[in-house]
Amino acid sequence: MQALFDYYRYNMEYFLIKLGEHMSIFALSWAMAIVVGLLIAIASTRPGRMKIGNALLTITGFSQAVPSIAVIALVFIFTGIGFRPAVLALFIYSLVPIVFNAASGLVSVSPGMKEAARGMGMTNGQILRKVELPASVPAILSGIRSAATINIGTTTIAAAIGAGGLGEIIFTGIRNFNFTIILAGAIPTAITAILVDVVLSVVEKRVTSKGLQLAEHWRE
Amino acid sequence: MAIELKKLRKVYGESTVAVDDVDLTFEDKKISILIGPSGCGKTTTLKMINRLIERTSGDIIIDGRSIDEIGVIELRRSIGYVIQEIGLFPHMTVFDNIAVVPRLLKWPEDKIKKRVMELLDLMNLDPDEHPYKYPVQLSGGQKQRVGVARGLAADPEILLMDEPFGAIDPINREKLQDAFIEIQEQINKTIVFVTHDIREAIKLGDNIAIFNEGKLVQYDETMTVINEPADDFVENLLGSDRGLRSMELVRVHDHYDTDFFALELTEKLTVGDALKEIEKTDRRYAYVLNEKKRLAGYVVRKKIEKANKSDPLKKHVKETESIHPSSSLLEAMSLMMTSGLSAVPVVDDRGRVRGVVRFSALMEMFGSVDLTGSD
Repeated sequence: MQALFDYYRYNMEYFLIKLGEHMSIFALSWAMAIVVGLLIAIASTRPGRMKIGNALLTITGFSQAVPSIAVIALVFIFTGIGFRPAVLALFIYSLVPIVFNAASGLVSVSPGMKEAARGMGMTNGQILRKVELPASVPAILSGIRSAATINIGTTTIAAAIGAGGLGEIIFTGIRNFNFTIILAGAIPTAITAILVDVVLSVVEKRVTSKGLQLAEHWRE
Repeated sequence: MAIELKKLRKVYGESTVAVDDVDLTFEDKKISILIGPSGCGKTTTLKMINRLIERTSGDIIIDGRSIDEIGVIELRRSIGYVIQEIGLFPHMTVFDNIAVVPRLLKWPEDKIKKRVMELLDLMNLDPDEHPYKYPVQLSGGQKQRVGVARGLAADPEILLMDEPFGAIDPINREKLQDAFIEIQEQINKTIVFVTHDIREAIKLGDNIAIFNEGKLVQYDETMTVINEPADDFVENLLGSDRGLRSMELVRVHDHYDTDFFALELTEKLTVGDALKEIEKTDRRYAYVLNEKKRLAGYVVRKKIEKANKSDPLKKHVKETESIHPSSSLLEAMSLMMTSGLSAVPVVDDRGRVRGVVRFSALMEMFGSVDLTGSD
C-alpha cells in the first residue's frame, strides 16, 4: 500500500498525463460512438426499413462477442499506431453496444403505439421525437452506459499500439513483474469506470420518464 | 359529419381482396358499428378513413369533400382515433397523452389545460389526481377512458374507434360501454366503431354494418338487423337467442314513444276539468305532472269517470313506476310484468317525462324474432 502511494508521489505528473490521455481517448471515441451509433440505430429502424434494423441487431449482437484486442489489432493493421488509430478502434468497439441497445429499444416500441401516433396526425419526425425516442430512452442509455464502462476498460489496451493512457502504466508493471505498478494503473482505471457509471446512472434517472421507471418497477 | 364510402376497395398484392366495393354512409352524429369475423375487412375499412391504410380504388367523402383533398396529416388531426389501451404513450402523463393532438395543432397551453380538465371531468376521472399520473398507474378501464379523452381532445366531429374496449374484462367493459353511451349523448359525434363482439354492437350501435370476407353483408339500423337479418351469416352472428339478447342490450333511449298525454296538476284541478281534457283525446289514461313538471303518477279514465266530478284530481292520482332512458328494453319489459302496467313512462335524470314504452310496441319490435330462442 505504502509502495503504491510512493509510486504516485514520485510519478504524479506522469500519472496525470496518462490519466489525461486515457480520458481523452475514452471521451472522444465514446462521444463519436454515441452520435454515430444513434444515427445508425435510428436510420435502420425507420418505417419500411425494419428488416435492416433486425439484421443490424443480429450483426451487432454477434460482434459483441469479438474480443476488444482483436478489434484493436485489426484497426492497427490498417491505420498504424498512435492516438488516432486507438480512438478509431475504441469508437468501433463502443459502437456495437450503443447500436445494439438503441436499435433493440426502437424496434420494440409497440406497433400499436406508433400507429396511434400516426393516426393522431404525427409526422414521421414527430413520431420519432415524441414517441419512439422517449420510449426507448432506457435501452438507449443502457447501451451508452455499458459502452462507457467497456470503453474505459478497453482503453488500457490502446497502450499496446502506442496511444498512451493508463494502460501504459499497467504494461510497464507487467514488463517489470512489478505488481505495485500494475495496480497503480489498474486501480484508477477501475475507479474512473465506476465513477462514470455512477454519474451516468444518475443521468439515466433524470432523463428517463417517470412513467417508464414506474413501469420497470412494476415489472419486477 | 356524415362519411360516405363509395365503391371502396382494398386489394393487397395481386389478388387478395380485403375490402370489396363497399358502399355505405355513416350517418352524422350516430354510432355506426363495423362487425364481422377477423379478416372480414372491418378494420381495413376503418383505417382507410384516416388513411392509415390507403385504398386501392373508390372514394371516401367527408362533409362533401374527398379525403384526398385534405392533406393526410391535417385529415388525421381532424379525426379522433381511439385504439386499445396499448396506444397510450407510457412515457407521458395522462395530461400529456390527452394533449397530444391539441399540441400538434399548436393550441395555446391555457386552452389545452382547460380542455384536458374538461375531458377528464367528462370521462369521470378525478381532475385533481389523474392528470399527473402515468398510464402504468391506471387500471385498464381508466386507461381506456384516457384513450377516449385523447381521441376527443381537439373536439373532432368524427371519432374512429378500433376495438377500444377489447382488452378490458367483461364487467368493466359493460361499465365503459354504459359510460360511453352517456358521453355520446352529450357530445353527439359521428362515431365509427369496430368490434367483434355482437353484444357490444347491439348495445352501442345506432347502425350496424356486417362484413364478411371483405363484403358488406348488411347495413341497417340495429333493430332492423335484429328483426330482419339479411342472410344466414348475419343470423348466425346474432346467435339463436338474439331476441332476448337484443332486448337486454337495446336501450329504452332510442325506442320510446313520445306520443303520450299528460295533465299538469294544480291545487284547483278537479276530476271534471281533467276529464274534459282527456275526452278531447281518445286516451284511456293520462300521466299527471306536478307543478315542477315532474311525474306525479297517472289517472285512469274509466276510474275517474265514476268519481265525483268536483273532487280534486289529486285524490285519484295513482303512483306509477318509471324507467330511465339508459335502461334496457328487457328491464322495461320486466317492469311491466311485475307492475301489471301495459306502459311505463320514461323519466330522465332531471325528472322530466320524455315518453313512454308500451308493451304493444315491444311486441311489435320483436314480433319477427322468436323470443324463446328455439329457432
